[in-house]
This record gives sequence, C-alpha cells and structure tokens, in this order.
Amino acid sequence: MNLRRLLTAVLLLSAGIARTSAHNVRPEPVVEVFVKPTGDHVTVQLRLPIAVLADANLPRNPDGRLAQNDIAQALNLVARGIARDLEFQQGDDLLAMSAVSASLSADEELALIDLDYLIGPDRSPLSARLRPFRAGGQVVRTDAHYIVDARAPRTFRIAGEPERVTFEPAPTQVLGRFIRRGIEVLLSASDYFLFALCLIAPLRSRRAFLGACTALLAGQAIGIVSVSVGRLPVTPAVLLTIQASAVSAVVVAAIQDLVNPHSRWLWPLALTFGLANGLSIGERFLSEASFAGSYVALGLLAWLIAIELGQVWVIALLASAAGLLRRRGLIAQLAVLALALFAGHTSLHRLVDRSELLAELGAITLDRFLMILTLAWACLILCTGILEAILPARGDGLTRPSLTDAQNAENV
Amino acid sequence: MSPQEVRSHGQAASSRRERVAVLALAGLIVSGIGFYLALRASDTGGNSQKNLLPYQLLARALPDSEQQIFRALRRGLLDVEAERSRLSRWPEPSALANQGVAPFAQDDGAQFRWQRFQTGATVNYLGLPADPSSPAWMLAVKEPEPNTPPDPAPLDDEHHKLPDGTTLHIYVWMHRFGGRVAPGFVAQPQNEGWTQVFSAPPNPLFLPRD
Repeated sequence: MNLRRLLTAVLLLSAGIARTSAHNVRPEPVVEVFVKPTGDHVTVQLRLPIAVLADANLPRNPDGRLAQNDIAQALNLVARGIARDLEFQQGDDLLAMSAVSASLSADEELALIDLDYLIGPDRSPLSARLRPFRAGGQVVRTDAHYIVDARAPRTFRIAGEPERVTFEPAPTQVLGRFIRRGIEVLLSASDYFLFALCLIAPLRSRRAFLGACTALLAGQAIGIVSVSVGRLPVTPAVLLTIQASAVSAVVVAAIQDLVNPHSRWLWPLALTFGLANGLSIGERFLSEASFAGSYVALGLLAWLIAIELGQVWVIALLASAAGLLRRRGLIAQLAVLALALFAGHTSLHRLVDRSELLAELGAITLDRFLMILTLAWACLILCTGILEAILPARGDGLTRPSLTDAQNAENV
Repeated sequence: MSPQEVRSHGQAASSRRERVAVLALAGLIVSGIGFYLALRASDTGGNSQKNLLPYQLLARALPDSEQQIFRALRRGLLDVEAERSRLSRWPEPSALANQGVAPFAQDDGAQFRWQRFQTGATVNYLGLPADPSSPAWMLAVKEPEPNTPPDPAPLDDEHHKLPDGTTLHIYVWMHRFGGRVAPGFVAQPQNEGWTQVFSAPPNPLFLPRD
C-alpha cells in the first residue's frame, strides 16, 4: 500500500469537516387510539394530550386550569368532531356510532374519548381515517393499536398525511403499499448511493464489481430480514451506531478506491456495508409492519424486492454512466474517480452528525465513539494486512484493468 | 481501387452486442421511471405532507364531505371576485346566498352561517357550522396594500387577478372544532387552530404570506 496515497486520500476526504450544531431530544406527546372489535361491536378509545386540544378553546378558570363544571359539553363536541373525522368503516360502509363519551384524566393531562360502533355480520375489514394532530405548531403523531388478542396488538403509526388504515388489509393492498414504501426508502436512504459511487468510481474487473454488488445486496437482505423478524432488537442508540458504522464503511471504501482499488477485500467491505445498511432499513420496516396485517411475510418480500431491484437499477445506471464517461479520456476517468472523494467526504459529515446524535442520547461521548470506530477499522485493516501477507498472492490470471484501458480500446 | 473497410465477424458481433446492451439499458431506464411514475400516480396516501408546514394540508387528505365544501368554496370564489369587481367592494354573504352562490347558499338548509369580516385590506368570509361538531371554514382574501409593487407570482390557487389588475392572495382555512370558534376577524389563523387547505402544495418560490 502506498502510504503517501493513503495520507493524501485521508486529507482530501477530511477537508472542510466541521461539527454541526447539536439539538436536544425532547420527549414528544403522542395521541393513542385503541381499537378493539368485540362480537358485533367495535370500541375505540382515544387518549389525547390536552395540548393537542388547544385549538378547541376548552373553557378555563381565571387561574388557567380547565373549568371542570363547563368542560363536559366542550369535550363532548370535540369527541363527536374527532369521531366524525375518523370515518370508521366496515368495507365501504360508514359505521354509525352507537355511543360516545368524553372525560378528562385525573391529572387533566389527557382527554379520554370512548366511541362505540355497531358492526355488521359480514367479515368485511374494518378501517378508519387516522391522522396526526397539532400542538404548539408541531405535529403530534398518532399511534393506533388494533387489539387482535391480548398478546400483541398491532400498532399503526401516523405522523404524516392523514390516511385510511385498514386494520386487516388484503394481500393486494399489502403488496402495493410495501412496494411503494420500499421505493420511498430507496429514494430517501442515500447511504447506499454513496457506496455505489465508491463501487463505480475506479475501473474494476467485471468479476470484482459483480462480486461486490452481490455481497452488498446479500448483506443488505440479511440485515433487513434479521431486524424485520424481530430477532435483533434495535434501540435508538443501536440504530444510530449501525447507521454510523454504515457510513464509516463508505469512508473506508472511498479510501480504498484511491489507495488500492483492486483490493481483494472489496466484497467483504461491501458485505459489511450491506449488512449495516440492511439493519437500518429493516428497522423502518418494523415500524410499518403492522400495516401488513396478517401478511407480514408478503409485505417484507415486497419491501425487499422493491429495494433490492431498485438498487440494482441505480448501480447499473451509475456503472453505465461511468463507463461512458471514461471513454472520453484521462481527465474524464479522473473525474469519475473523484466521485469517491465526494462520497467519502459526504459520509464523513454524516458520520459526525450521527455520532453527535448518539452522544446526545447519553450512551457514549462523541470523541469516545469516533475513537472506538476508528480503532475498530484500524484493527480490521491491520488484520487484512496480516492476512494479505499470509495468503497466497492473487494469481487468478486476470489482467487488471488500468486507467488507460479505455483509451487503448478506443484506439483499436 | 478505393480502400474499403472490411469488418471482421468478431467486430460485427461485438457491435451487435453493444447495440443490444445499450438498448437494454435504455429500456431499463424507461421502464424503471415508468414504473415509479405509475406507482406514484396510484398512491392515495403517501408523504406529500413533508412539503407542507404543520398547519397546512392538502384537500385530498380530507374526508369526502369536507372536500366537497372545499371545492364549493373554490368555485364560489369566482363569483365572489366577480361581485367584487362589479361593486368595488366585497359582497355580503347574504347577497351571495340570494344569488345562489355555493356554499353561501345551501339547498339543504343552513349548513353554515356565513359572516364577512374585514380589517384593512384583508377580508374573511367565516362559515360557522350548524352542527357544532363539524369543521368551520374561512375564506381569507388579501388585497395588496396601497403603494406596494405588483406581485410577480404566477396565477394559481393562491394568486388571483381581478379584471382591474389587482392581485389577490386567496387562502382557504378550516377549523376542526367548528363549534368552538368565536365569530370575528381572524388575524393569524395558524396560531388559532386553523388549518390551511390547498389543492396542490404551494409554490416554494412564492410562499404564503402571513
């Protein structure tokens, strides 16, 4: 390994890295909805923090406390308004509300609303229009718990646009939803895009490139499935650690591109990144798994296929574009190689950001985490160096592509 | 004898392969984009809220009954603007109801009680529901202040132009707890629990004014 190239690569990647400003994590209020079908009734209980009812102008005493004597009518009106908004349906039929009541919790922090609906004898699925609320200019998410049995209610989390949630969706609904969500994840989670840039930046043999892509997709699939089936509990601190590790793999890949693009350790690095990225993506599926109803496996499959196929598509596009550019000459080849610098630099920023978020959780300090991560990678690189010395040299008979290969091909 | 280029069989096969590869890649790109657009078109929910502020909402996210009122308000606005141009002042809701302008005039009885409030260049048409559990609606119209330069924003749901060239800023607001709204002029609706309703996300280059 050329030490000067290594140092140059590290300097270029690190240029302009500055710490971002920190932000505090405050506990957020949540509106909770409990839906329980029982025979020919379905009961719905809502627990709303009083803050989300500020718009209702609930009557208050001169001291600012809620006026207990006058609040019943206002709460009843609020309850009927919320019930009207819920639009509880069985199939396509709007359900009539048979009973409604509203009260305050003892500490006056929560408004409790109880609704009762009569349901028909047919087995059409129940659905409701759920939406987030507002408190002090901030969005307050809604968690709807559909109580199938006493063991595990299904929780539907709504934090964006209001949507109709079917509590027992059909397979086709599950397929459509999770393919859409998978594509949204593909477009929003861009760490893989940075890694893909590192894959296509230097000119590699087809075998090495395909091997790395396969390792990336395989590692990702393993990661997604591991988290999605609940085998790996992912707390916020663990999630941030995984995400930080994923972008650190991109940094290492960028350095590798500049120092030793033909390294035999490309596919293990891709596998490592894929695994970390998959764990992160899998956690997002877990938060949406309830929307699959009884077809969680189908939803997971749709999600996985959408993401993996989408990434194959992106990588194929990038590789083709890079190949076309390289034919323009040496300058173009160097420009494509510089994409690795961009990917590495961006990943360094993200690493610092995520490390700071992790530090704010109190699990570990920023400096300590970065030190541990750096030492871990250093140990790994050292081990690979030792293995390189022990393992036989790569005599696979393949001609390594050089930077001028494309030029020579043009001249033939 | 002029020189002729003779292509070997290998070169011809290589060109064919490359042509197939390029066409396949083009097909891959087009099909990928087409699939994505089709999926977006079929998406009834989605995450368009990410482009809106917490007090803003797209009309399609409302229940059907409220979407009807929103559409009726947008349609009725044209008649209101016509009356404004004719009379040089904003008409009273009762006059609009007499002319059968929806939603100020309702065939099925008094669903809303409409009132007009004005402060300076801003006019509010406030509709309080007969059923207090239903939402209240408000049509807010802002005329330009005197001696202000013309607004360069393109005409859209928010920006209308009267025949005399006056550019108006139009906003439709909804208050979820209509029975708890006090009649009166609303200066800062977003601070009083009102939700701004759009047909489409506002143009980020010309954001709604306070």
